Amino acid sequence: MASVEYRHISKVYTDDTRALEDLNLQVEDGEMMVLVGPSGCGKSTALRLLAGLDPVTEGQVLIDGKPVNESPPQHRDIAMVFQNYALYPHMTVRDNLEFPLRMMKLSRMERTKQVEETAYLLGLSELLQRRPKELSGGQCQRVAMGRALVRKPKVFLMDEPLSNLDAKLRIQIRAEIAALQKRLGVTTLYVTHDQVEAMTLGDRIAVLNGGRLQQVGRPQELYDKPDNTFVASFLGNPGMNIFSARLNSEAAIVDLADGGWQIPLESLLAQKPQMKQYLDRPLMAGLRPEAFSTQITPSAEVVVEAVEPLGHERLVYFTPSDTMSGSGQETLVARLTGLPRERVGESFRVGLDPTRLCFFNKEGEVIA
Amino acid sequence: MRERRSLAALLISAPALFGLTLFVAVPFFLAVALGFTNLRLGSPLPLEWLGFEQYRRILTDSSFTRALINNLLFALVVVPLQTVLALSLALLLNQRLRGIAWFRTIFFMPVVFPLSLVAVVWVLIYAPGPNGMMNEFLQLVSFGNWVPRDFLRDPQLALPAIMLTSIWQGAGFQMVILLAGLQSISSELYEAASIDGAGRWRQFWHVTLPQLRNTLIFVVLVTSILAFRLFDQVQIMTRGGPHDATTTVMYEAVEAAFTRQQVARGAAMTVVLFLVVLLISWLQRRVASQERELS
Amino acid sequence: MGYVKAFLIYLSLLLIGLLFITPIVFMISGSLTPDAGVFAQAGGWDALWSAGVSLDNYRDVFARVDFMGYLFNSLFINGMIVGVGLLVNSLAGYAFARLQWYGRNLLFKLVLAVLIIPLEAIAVPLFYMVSLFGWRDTYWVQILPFIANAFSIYLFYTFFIGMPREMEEAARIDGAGVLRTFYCIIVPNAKPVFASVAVLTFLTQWGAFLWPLMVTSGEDVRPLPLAIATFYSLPPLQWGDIFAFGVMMVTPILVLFLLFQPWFVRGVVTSGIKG
Repeated sequence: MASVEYRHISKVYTDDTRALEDLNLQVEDGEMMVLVGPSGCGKSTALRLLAGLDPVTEGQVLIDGKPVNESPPQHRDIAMVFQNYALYPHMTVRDNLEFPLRMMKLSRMERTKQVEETAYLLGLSELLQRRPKELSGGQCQRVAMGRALVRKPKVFLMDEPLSNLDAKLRIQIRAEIAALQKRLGVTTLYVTHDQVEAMTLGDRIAVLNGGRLQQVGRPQELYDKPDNTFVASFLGNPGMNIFSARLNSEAAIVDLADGGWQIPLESLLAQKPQMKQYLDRPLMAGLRPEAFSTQITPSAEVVVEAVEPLGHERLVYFTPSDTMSGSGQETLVARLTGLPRERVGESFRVGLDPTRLCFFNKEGEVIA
Repeated sequence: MRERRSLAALLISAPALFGLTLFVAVPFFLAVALGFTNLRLGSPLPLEWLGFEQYRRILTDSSFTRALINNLLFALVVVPLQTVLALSLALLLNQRLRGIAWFRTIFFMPVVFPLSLVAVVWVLIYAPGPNGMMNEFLQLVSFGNWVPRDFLRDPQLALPAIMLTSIWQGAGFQMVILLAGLQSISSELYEAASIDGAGRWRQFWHVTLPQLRNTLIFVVLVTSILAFRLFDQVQIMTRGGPHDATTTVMYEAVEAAFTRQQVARGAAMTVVLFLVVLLISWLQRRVASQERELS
Repeated sequence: MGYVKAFLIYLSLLLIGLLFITPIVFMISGSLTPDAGVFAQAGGWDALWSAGVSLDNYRDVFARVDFMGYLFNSLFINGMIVGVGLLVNSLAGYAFARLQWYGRNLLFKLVLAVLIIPLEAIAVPLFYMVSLFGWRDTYWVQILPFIANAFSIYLFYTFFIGMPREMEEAARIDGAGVLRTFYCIIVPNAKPVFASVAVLTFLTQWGAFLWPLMVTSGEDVRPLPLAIATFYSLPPLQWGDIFAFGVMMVTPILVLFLLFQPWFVRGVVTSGIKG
């Protein structure tokens, strides 16, 4: 078992694309760390640097406190599951699982023992004589996991391992991965672009964007208290609503969404005294879709743009109707439960829970 | 870690790079250098720097200019004929008909025949006298009006005879490449064209030919270069004769360097050959890039 | 498709096919015809249906020249060129396609530049070089210059570039070095390109004539294509014997061709992909 640390890591590829900028990240022993972000955010690069597939431009990668920048992949005692599994097509499942052990020069008996243990663990025992092209997607995925697990690596790397599976299988294997990781207690770095995967799998999540680390923390922490508007809107489906806010000192109210909702300034300042310095300056507010409700106040008259019924709940897209004309209105979304009543084009009243509001300065950083 | 992989890469590519250097690059520069001298194998005369004098000599040599013209003629006749033949065969074979694979085998078979064997067989086909196979065949198709000729000793007929031999041997090669090109044309294009009301002939001009253009350019390039490399058939069938009627650049170069030991002269001739090949490739590139600009 | 159209296609194929196959049939039947006075001088259509079949000509060939020796020479020379060539050129193609190393891009451009130089353009100085080395009349002089091949390197390069990179990265992480990755992971999954390159090399080298003509003078190391040319000029002129020689000479490659026709076709087509 091992810990992993990225220390001031930057990566510039030979074609001058900057993939990572000053990444600092610590992964604890036995932890499942999920790196998440849109494509091109540098999350896969971070994994490849740790694997030793690409050289580091600046900074240090440490495994168990030892710098590994100069060690080749095979000396880092890591294993990796690739997005397209990268199984060896000309080898049977058994040979695929055995290959890393062969490279370790283990005895035949030892190899057979470990291959069979791993196959049993992953339910592959019946498939050992098959070749990759005779396997289903889910089975391929398991073989790829097996090949990574079989030699009991210190660190386990997974690069979008579920993205080639259909939705149902993805959920099933996601649960299996989580259970397996807990049982084996292997330090794991898991890369995905899917925030649901990140939320469900990660002990902690690191959100990256444009080569920069945005925020690290426990899933709920990131969900409730995003550090910036990027994290706020990236996590959650749909993401956090972001709209304008203004602390109006004259009227002693907080104007939300250009006058769509108003809450008393006093209560906010009592809760978040540090916001005093933002009086009468443009701000942004964020609110999760589920913090809207038809039952609570303050409420405002809004116009329905679209309704997406999801069975147990519905997403209602709307624009606040009472706002000052001419202001650029954003469509907001509310997650409502109960029977759908809203019709497109009609208006209805919707309230929000002011305790769940987040505030960001105009650079998009949270005002703590 | 990078250094080790770099070293490994250099080590595994070293044999190939060494071979290409020693057996292609060095002789190539040697050819250019030798072409400016008067080097003769085993000659007591001192080595002299002739500069372009050597090239002046070969370009005013009537046999060599005749050789260049012969190569050019060969290219001008064989390239279009062979390409049209190969394209027709490919079009005929690009049909879903029973037994079509057998015909492909037959047309392709001459390609695996060594040129020297082909040349020897065709010498007999061109045998003089009324019993010669080609003579007999021509008499048959001309209803007895053909006067038997000695093809390979006839200044008018010797080069065409070699051309025919080469077409027979080479058409299958082009055909297979063109057939693959035809088969890679999406059937949707034809469906779209026929919905637009294009008949067979128009489909050929507006779908097949444009789609096949790059393959055709490639095939023409290879055949043109082959035309200037012509040697084996000439050496076996006519030895350049009669009266230089079938001599080629390569034949002259080998004669000079090998038979007469004039290495420098031979080298200069092959440099001319290389320049022609370079010119053809350059032309092909221009034609191909024009296409890219158009599309 | 209409019957008329199908009929016309078959008819044209049959006519052209007949023209294509006649010289081959002519050669085979000539080789089986006992030597007769007229035929010995000039082969006519008679050769196609002359009376009797005999293997005299084949016996003559073995009596007059060391055919098996020539066959061995050809097989040995070509086997070495193809076999060692596959190894050397595939490794170079792999290094260019997949490994990061200093000078790679420049060297690869040079390899592509070398592609355009035909053997003919360098035959004379190469002949001069090997004469200086005293290599004439050996097997090596017919093998070594043709092992490294820019076109083969290029074909390997394009194939390897198109292979999924993850497979090799997985192998690296699993602990395989450069060479082991190459022969455990790459080679087993690159059989088509190895077959194509082998066929193309064999096809171009089996008929090699110019170079052996320049560098060999004795019979000991001469390959078949040169042997038939000398046999043809060896008196007495016996056409039956020459054809028998020809049939035996082309049989190995013809058998290979008929057995592995798809690979031949694929090999030739691969050479056209460049365009």
